[in-house]
Amino acid sequence: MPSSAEQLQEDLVAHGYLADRGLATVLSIAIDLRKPLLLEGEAGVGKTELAKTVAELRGARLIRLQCYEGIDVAHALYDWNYARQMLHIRTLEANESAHAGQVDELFGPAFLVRRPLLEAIDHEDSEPPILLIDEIDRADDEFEAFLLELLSDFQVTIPELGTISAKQRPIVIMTSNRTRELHDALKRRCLYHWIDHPSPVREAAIVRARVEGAAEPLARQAANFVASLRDMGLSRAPGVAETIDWVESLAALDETVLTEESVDATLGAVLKEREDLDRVRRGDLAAMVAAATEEAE
Amino acid sequence: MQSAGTGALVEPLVAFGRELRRRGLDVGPGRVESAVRAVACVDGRNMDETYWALRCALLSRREDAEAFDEAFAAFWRGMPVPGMRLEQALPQRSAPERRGPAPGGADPAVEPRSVALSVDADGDADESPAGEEIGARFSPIERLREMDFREWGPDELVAARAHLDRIARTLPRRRSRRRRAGSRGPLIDRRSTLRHAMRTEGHPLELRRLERRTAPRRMLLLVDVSGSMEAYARPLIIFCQAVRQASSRVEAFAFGTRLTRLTRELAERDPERAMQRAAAAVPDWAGGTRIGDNLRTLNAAWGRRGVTRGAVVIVFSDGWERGDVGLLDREMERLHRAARTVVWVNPLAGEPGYEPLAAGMAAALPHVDHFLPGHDLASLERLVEVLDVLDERDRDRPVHARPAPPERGVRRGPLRAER
Repeated sequence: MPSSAEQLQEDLVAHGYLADRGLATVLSIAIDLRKPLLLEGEAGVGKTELAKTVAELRGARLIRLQCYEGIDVAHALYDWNYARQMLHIRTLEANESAHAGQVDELFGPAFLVRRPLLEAIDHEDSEPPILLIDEIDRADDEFEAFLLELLSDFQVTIPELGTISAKQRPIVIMTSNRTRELHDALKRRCLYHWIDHPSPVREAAIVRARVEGAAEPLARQAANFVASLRDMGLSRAPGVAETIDWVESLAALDETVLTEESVDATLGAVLKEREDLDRVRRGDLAAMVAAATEEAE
Repeated sequence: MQSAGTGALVEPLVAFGRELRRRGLDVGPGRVESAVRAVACVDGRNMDETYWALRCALLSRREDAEAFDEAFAAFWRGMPVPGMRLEQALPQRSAPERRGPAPGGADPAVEPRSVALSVDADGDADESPAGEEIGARFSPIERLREMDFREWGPDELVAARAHLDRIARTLPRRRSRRRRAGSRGPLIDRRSTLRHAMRTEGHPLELRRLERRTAPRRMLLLVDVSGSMEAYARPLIIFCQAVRQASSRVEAFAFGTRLTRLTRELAERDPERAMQRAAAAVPDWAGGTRIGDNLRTLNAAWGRRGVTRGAVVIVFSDGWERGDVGLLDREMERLHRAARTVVWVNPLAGEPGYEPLAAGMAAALPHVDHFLPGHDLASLERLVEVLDVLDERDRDRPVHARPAPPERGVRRGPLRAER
């Protein structure tokens, strides 16, 4: 019988996400222990995609919280719908029918704006939702401290409504691009995994799983080519998402192998900085294409 | 079944945690506990899964991965784990990068090089004979302020600490995206307005507002630790440590022939210990300089993570470039484009009649917003003054500091190299 990690790896592959054994093992532990998983890695290695795939294969709801500088409780947890409260008050006044019970309603569920974190804790789903906290490194220290508290007991207190705790803990996946170091206290709450750029062979497989009608030689050659781009020390190295985009454009042009002309015409799908484009085009494009083709043999 | 297996694992895992700590990883009891639980989740006979289970619980930074692998190979080799063979001790990684010694190789604990950095062992001491030493120890801060860093001994470093801290705390701030309740500002704080309306029978007579808060600006400190800067590096690194203590949004790097990140080392509260850790981390202390190369590494590896974007960059260097000057020019331009402001602090610029003739310095100057001396405490104070003026103003408008004392020959504002 396969171990739960092996099983998970197979399931992920069946849903089009080619995870290696390490990632599958770590993920399966995170699900078993209900510990938040902190994923780090360069942009475009598939951190966010993983959360989507896990939600899909477990038939769970994906709740996503995109972090940004200045995000606070009102954006992440809950807020009151003030405009609606005002209207309600005016209506009551006009009808002259206000009584104590109706005032209580003002701070009831009807006027509560539920933000992602509250959704993830106060849910009625049979399958616990996947909470994706994306780019946590963009939020600031105060928000991190708040998350730390939330992730330790999975309950929140709304003064007007009382304490709400999760009946079933959500599966939490956090991603970070490492624009700054996260607090140790937060890291201690999490399991940690670093996702590297995939090897060219794996990347070719990912591309073929994602791009319908991509010829195998094309996927292999493109993956090799992108790997050599990543070694060039460009200011923005392409991620897997860029490789997929690129092969998609090439396939749309009915290309089945890389040629110097087709690479030159579509390079903008892989490289998004002008100076990077210039540098690659100034270099020996033909030689790079030849090397990528040869390695794919 | 799980609990039986778990119990037997506690002892070896506690010992493994100790081994990791010895190698410099931050592994507390909480991590070990979660490792015990993680291992219980996987197939214990499968070394691959065991490795990943331990790694995700005990590792928290990618930089430590190599040390973890070495510890893993060395530690589990001696342990009676059923069904485990040595060659299985490390799983095949899909990624091509697997630097460092072979699994189970030699102890990687590199002897910390305590050359010029450690506070006691230094050639500077011979410049202050015994008689003067006492004078220095009690010297008023005024004397110390104008004393060239080259003449500093251990006593000056200790005496200047409080002063350095004071300078460092006067850091540039900027407006934050976060807001707080206040009386001015363009946005209305609805929550607070309604709460206040309770006092006036529900009529929101007084509008409460949100104003922006200030937050420390991101700073990036780059210290040249090559041979020509050796006499200055120690006070400058202590200054960087003080800056790092004053704000969490500081990144610090040392460079010579290669780039070393010191942000973690300088987070150490005690300046002396921070200094020792920094010295141990820098492999090329008092060696050559390849500024352009190092800047390229910085721009490529760290710029993408946003370390340079919008930051106040301070380079402490004499601009003595032994690498490709053209590369220095290009990389400085790139850095300048991403940064909020670039300040170059050159200890030599304190000399009367200094001209930036070194080829590297001349190449860097067009991409520098402020060019300042940095040979004593007084000049570091001026650095803070310059940064202070810098607020939300357009970066294209030159910001001038207070005129420098004429005898120092300080140049102000954006500078073009003059020949």
